Amino acid sequence: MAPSISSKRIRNISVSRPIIYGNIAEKVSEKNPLPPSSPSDHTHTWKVFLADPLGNDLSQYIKKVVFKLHDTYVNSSRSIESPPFEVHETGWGEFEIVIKIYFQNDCGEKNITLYHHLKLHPYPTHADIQRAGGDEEAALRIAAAENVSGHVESIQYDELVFNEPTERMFKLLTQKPGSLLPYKSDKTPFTKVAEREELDRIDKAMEEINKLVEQRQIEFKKLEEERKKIVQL
Amino acid sequence: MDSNDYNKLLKDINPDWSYKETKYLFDLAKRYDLRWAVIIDSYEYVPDEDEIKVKKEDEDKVDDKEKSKDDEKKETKTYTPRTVEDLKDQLYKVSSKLLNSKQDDGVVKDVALIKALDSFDKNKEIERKKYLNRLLHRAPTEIAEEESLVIEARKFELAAKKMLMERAQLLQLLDSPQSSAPIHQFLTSSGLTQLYNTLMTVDKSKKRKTEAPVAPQLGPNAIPYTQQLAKQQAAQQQAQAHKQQQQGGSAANSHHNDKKSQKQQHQQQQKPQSEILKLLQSRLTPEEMEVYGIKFHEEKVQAGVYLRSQKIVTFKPAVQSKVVEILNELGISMRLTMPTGAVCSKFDKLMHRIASLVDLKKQTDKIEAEVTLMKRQKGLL
Repeated sequence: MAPSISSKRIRNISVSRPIIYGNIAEKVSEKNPLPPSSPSDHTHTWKVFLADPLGNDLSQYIKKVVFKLHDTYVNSSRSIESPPFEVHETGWGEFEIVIKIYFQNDCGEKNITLYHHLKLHPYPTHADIQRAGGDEEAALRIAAAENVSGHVESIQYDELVFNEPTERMFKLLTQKPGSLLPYKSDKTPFTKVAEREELDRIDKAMEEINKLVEQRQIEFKKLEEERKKIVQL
Repeated sequence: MDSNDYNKLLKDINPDWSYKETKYLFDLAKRYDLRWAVIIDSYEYVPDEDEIKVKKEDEDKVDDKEKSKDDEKKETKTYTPRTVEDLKDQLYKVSSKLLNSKQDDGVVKDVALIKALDSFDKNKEIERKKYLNRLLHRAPTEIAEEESLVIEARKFELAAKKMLMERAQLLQLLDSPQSSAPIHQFLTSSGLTQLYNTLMTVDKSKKRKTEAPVAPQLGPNAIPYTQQLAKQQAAQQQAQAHKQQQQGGSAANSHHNDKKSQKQQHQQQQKPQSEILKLLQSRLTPEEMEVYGIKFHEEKVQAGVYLRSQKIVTFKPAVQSKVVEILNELGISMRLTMPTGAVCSKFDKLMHRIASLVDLKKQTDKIEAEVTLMKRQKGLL
């Protein structure tokens, strides 16, 4: 082992770690009763969280996570200092939650901020909009009706990229190989397959754009020549 | 040689000189061993009467009355005033002509001596002596003034030289941009300072011949200026070698264009690299890198943490809206579902491509408008 781990940064290197964050919400019902302390006009129970897609322990490199809820909540700034980094609450409205991630002290990294819109109601899908005939509100209602279980999820995949990590941070990050996504998985929608799909989509789009660009370039050249001819006239 | 010969050959050197006088001069020179100081002191040639007559004939063309007075003076046997230069002149010229004309003897002509004798110029001699005289009689203030002027002149020279050198360097730099190394790292303020620092260190390590102007030491210990400079340079070079050794240990990681210094610094940089990095370089395979999420970058990246989705590329609002429109048409949203490294870079490229498409469209529209306008103008003609 190295005699002393300095806080020097390792150049030309970046380490990335996947995370998922978001919320899941459930409508209050018989199966899901409101906890006694919450006011009766709350229609949903929800939890907002920050986790690792593979279920690894994030506290390796994360010291604490601060979830800032809407001001109407008591103690709107919820600081979670041990895993699981999540906040369980009830409510009736959707708002933006600010998630601040603080890293371990000797890592020499500043905190970073994420924003997440709390989703309680299901978004209408294409089919719903079509059925509603383009009417948004109607579509929403249809979607809500479709969502029988009342379970709504809004989870985002993202990656934390550490550029030039300090040696200490590097050690922490690499104690466990946590970056590889599962190829296929039933537990989480964030798999390699999904990544592949996205790449393919982008590739297709790229092709189309390239075609368009070529067309435009030909047009442009034609117009240029025309212009030259006219100028010479 | 008698007077006839003299009159034939040597008279035309200087008509002022008679044979007798010349002989007298030569005698004196021989006696006093060419020591001019003594010769001029004891030079008391008194012209004879016949010479006066000759002189009189020469001067007849001038005013008679005046000449009669001169005649009287000469008759009273005063010696003709001869300066050292006159004597030297006559002696050298006569000797040179004599030596030149001694062909029948078969003696090898001493060409060098003849040349030396010939090169005596009376007027120049007079000038030189005048100048020396002035020099020796300078007031001390003048001396000081002269010295300071000399020093300043030297300073100017050095400055001019330095400027030329720097200009040459700058031109070199401008002429060969050599932007082979990526410059992203230098776009930030920290990157800029780092660039500046590396350039400064490289600059210092170059051998600089800074010649400080030295006051000319006039005195018993005065050494020639060039020697002094040489001493200075030797001392400087030593100091710089010393410096370089010290700097070797703390060389900065530079992307400097100078290949030599790059090599040097590369070698030096390998020392301060951390253990971890060494481990990494030796052991990691691409899969392992992926597993750990480690990525090597060629260029310097900015230190810090960020969220991948927060760093997708954006453009000016006008362009951005169009780009978003196009994206939606293509069926991709701005928010990526899986913002991994590969996806993000591809997405970046796509965005750039779309931006260029938008730009192209703008240009074609412009040209189209121009063409229709011109057509209309010419069409109406």
